[in-house]
Amino acid sequence: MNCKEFKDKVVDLFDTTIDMQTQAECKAHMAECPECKAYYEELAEAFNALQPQETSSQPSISRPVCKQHHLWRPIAAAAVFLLGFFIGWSHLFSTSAVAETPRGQLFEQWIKSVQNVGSFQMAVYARTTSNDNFAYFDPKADFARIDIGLLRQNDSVFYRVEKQNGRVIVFDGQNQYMWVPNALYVKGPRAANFLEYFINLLYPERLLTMQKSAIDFSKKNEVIRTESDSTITLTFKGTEKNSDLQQLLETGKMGDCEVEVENVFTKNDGLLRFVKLWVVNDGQKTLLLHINNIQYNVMMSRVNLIQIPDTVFL
Amino acid sequence: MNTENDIKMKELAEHFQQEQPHLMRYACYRLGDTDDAKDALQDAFLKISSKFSDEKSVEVRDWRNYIFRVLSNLCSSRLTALGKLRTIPLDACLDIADLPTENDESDYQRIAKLLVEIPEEQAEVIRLRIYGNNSFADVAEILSLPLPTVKSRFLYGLEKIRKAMKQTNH
Ligand SMILES: [Zn+2]
Repeated sequence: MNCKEFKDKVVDLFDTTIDMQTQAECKAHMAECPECKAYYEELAEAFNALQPQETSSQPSISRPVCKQHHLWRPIAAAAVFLLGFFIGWSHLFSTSAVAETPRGQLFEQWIKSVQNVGSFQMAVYARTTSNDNFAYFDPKADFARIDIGLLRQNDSVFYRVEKQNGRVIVFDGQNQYMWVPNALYVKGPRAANFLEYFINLLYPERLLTMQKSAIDFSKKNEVIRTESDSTITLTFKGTEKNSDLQQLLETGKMGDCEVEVENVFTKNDGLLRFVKLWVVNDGQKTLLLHINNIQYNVMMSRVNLIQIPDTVFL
Repeated sequence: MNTENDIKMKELAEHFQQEQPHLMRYACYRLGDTDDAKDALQDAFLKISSKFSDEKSVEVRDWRNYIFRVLSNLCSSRLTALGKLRTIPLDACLDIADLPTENDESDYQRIAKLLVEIPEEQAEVIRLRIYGNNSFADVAEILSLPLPTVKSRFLYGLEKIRKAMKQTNH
């Protein structure tokens, strides 16, 4: 190999796979030609400088955004259970008309704390399947991750609810969009009941309000308050089967069950952080969903939050 | 969607999943933003999958190269679009705890500084080769360029980066 041949071949030493013979020939030439050796070493230095040092598979750069895209798996055409009825928007925010009792008031201050936040994001892990409706739960299913991001801005609400590898619902302040990648794309008005009773999980205050009204509704339901250095825990036990809370479990394979909910609040800001919800059926207690570390007032881009696929919605 | 394309959808998804680390890393270094990169990957997935529902049959000879080609093009148009959007402020309130770690950020900054020293056409070859982990032959196919052109762009790029490194060191 001469210098000209070396300069033609040297680039191949930076390919994904290196031909053994080329490598041997280049090495042999470099052993006797300091100039070509120096040239190769300079290239290698630049090549090494371009290698990322971080160990994770992807660099984490620039702004964090409340958004998760996990749409990598194909979705077989899913059965669509689009309930034909719409419920009024006001219903979603309404609290129970039942008169307050001191027991229910245990929830009051925590409800107020979360009502005033500007945004939050959380990951809900629920026993459900990725393509089914959000309100569909099945105690026999594995846990699926559901990411929820919500932003309040200028008297409007924007949200994104996304099942990992599955169904997504976005509300852009005017319309709701629901899709299952490559299977379903629908658009509806703000009052469209895409979320069904899952809407109660979209607002932490709503979940607390349901427990409060269940407590107020029946003496059979009870709440226990425990405390640690940094947290307060309210554990709700609902044996009564007609409360609002039961509606959350109306769709799916829940049968006739009792509900237990553990709500953990951080003391310093009074915000709900962790939720665990069990169903008790024939004495058997099953963890149906849990919410880990709800983040409040997080940096969130509205544009990203309400982004929808570039597809024509019906 | 016919059965044949159903099978293709499955293949596409498998390739996406398999190649996701490289696709992601490439897109991150191309776009300079993790979330933009995620979006670009999603766009690429949607774009390719919509082809299967639109057309009776799509022949894909090399999935990996095909996905990279679509992603590379989407990144280009995304960069053009971002240039226009940059003046619009983000609707954001800040949570300091969620900011990225300094190491990842500086690693990216360090490499981005090296890549601005060279023409974009050379930088793109380097990104596809190093961050996308593509062979030169693959890069040639992705960019629809002759193999010698790809190799010489890569070499010129490295030479220029080396020169720039020398200048900053002295
Ligand atoms: Zn030589």
